Amino acid sequence: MTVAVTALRPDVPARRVLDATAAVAVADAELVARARTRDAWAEEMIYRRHAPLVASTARRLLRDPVEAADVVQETFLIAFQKLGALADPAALRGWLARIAVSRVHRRWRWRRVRFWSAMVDEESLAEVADAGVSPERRTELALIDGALRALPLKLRVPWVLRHVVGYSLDEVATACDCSLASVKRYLGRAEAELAVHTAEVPRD
Amino acid sequence: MTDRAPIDRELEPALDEAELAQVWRRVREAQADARVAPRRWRYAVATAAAVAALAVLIVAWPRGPHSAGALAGDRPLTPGVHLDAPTPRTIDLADGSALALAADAQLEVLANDGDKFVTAVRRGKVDFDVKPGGPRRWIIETDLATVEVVGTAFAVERGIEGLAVTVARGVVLVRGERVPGRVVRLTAGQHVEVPAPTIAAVATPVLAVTPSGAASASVTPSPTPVAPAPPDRVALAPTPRRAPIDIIARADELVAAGQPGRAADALAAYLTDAPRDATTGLAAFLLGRLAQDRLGQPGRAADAFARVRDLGTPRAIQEEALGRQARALARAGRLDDAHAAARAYLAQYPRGPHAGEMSTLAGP
Repeated sequence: MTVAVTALRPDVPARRVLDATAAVAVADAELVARARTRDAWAEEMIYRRHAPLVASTARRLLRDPVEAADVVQETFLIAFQKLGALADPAALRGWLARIAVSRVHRRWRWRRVRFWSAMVDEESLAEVADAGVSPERRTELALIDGALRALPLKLRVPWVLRHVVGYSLDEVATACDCSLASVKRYLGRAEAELAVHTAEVPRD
Repeated sequence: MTDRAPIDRELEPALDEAELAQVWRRVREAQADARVAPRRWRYAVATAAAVAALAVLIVAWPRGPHSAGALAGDRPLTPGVHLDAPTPRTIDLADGSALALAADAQLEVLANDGDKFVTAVRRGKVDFDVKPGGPRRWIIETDLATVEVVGTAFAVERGIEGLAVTVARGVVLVRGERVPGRVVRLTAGQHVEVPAPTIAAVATPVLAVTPSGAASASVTPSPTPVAPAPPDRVALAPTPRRAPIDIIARADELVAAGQPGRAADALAAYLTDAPRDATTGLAAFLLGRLAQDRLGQPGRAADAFARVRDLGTPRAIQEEALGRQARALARAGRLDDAHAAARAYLAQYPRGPHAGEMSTLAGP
């Protein structure tokens, strides 16, 4: 059978292009099943698919690209070792986030231990804003950033995962190892705290 | 709650592709270490001694492109080697992989080290049989798309009308600006065609995915006529209307004819008004290498490699470009810039093939 897909033509709907890429996509569940048999290709596909999000999770929480890279490495090493323990292979994304967040917590604990000898120079959201971001938005990001720093980790982590990285509520709950109701409660409290510092943070 | 766009979209990538690739190599290395580690404590001492001995051996062993294990007969496949095949020929590599060049096929080795084997197919058909599970990543660059391989058998054919990739075994990823979604995964029996742009750059990119078992004639033809490459391969002055692959091919011919200066001028003229795409990156890389290796113009080379870095594509040659840029800057006397480039290299590729040289260049 011949499948022909034309792209970038104004007279052809983009949907056909999406069909082409979807036809070759492999679901997470299948990748997990193959990776459990030590399929190197499946492991690499899992990494390629999820590493950017895990990297965002680590960097936005830790605010340090070097430590973020270490966390990404640790996360996937642990994930491939413990893939057999993943109950729902389709929930791979949230499970990886959970591992990453736990590694981030370890890094934070270690930072507290070494605090006496080395200050950690954390980057701000405004500093890592894309070049195309307007000065006004940078100011907003700086306000959000200042407000986030004042939040306790219990509130900051869910808010960052949800509104900076972009995880779903269910995934945030998985990543934070708490219930969905707790996540909603934490997010609500975080919003209230942030609103005290800046009126620029939009409310849900 | 209502959804709002995550802030992450407004921020620079947490880790760029090169950094993610580096992390992946570390993951693989750690996995390999874990698999060979003995579980019993009483073997720990013996293993530590063996690992230490191995580490000493690895450090002391002469490294470089020649140690990567890819040899064509007695001729090492070092970067810069051009392979032309007036008649069909097969090249068996030391790692068990093989390349079969059809008549008139031409390819060039861009990088060859312990991590990767990068080659550019300039024209014609080349069949690749990559040994599965091999230690290196195979990347085949063309002007229309990049083919990434893990372990497979496939063919890449760059003809006048475009690029065709056919997979016989395994899986490959085909990436490129003209590939729908910019990337498509091909499995055994699948075939993809990416037509070349017309000279006036108005061609409609078309991708046809078919089972490769079908005759090539069954591939859905492009509804838009594709203009053939210009017949003139002698004239020097390039114009923005000329197909990029023709510029590179002509530069190759001039180099082969012993005129690297004219080849560099042709590439430079093309680069003055070139689009920001992989072909331009490849042309800039070739210009840099000519200026550095053949013409003794380190300043010009540094600028060309900086262009490659600025473009960020093709990804496969970014590491080599940065290493060469640092070296060229040092030879051009721009020491501060050389230090900065060397440090950037070490930050991005701390275990790269040029890491030793970069450590020296980076200074204290």
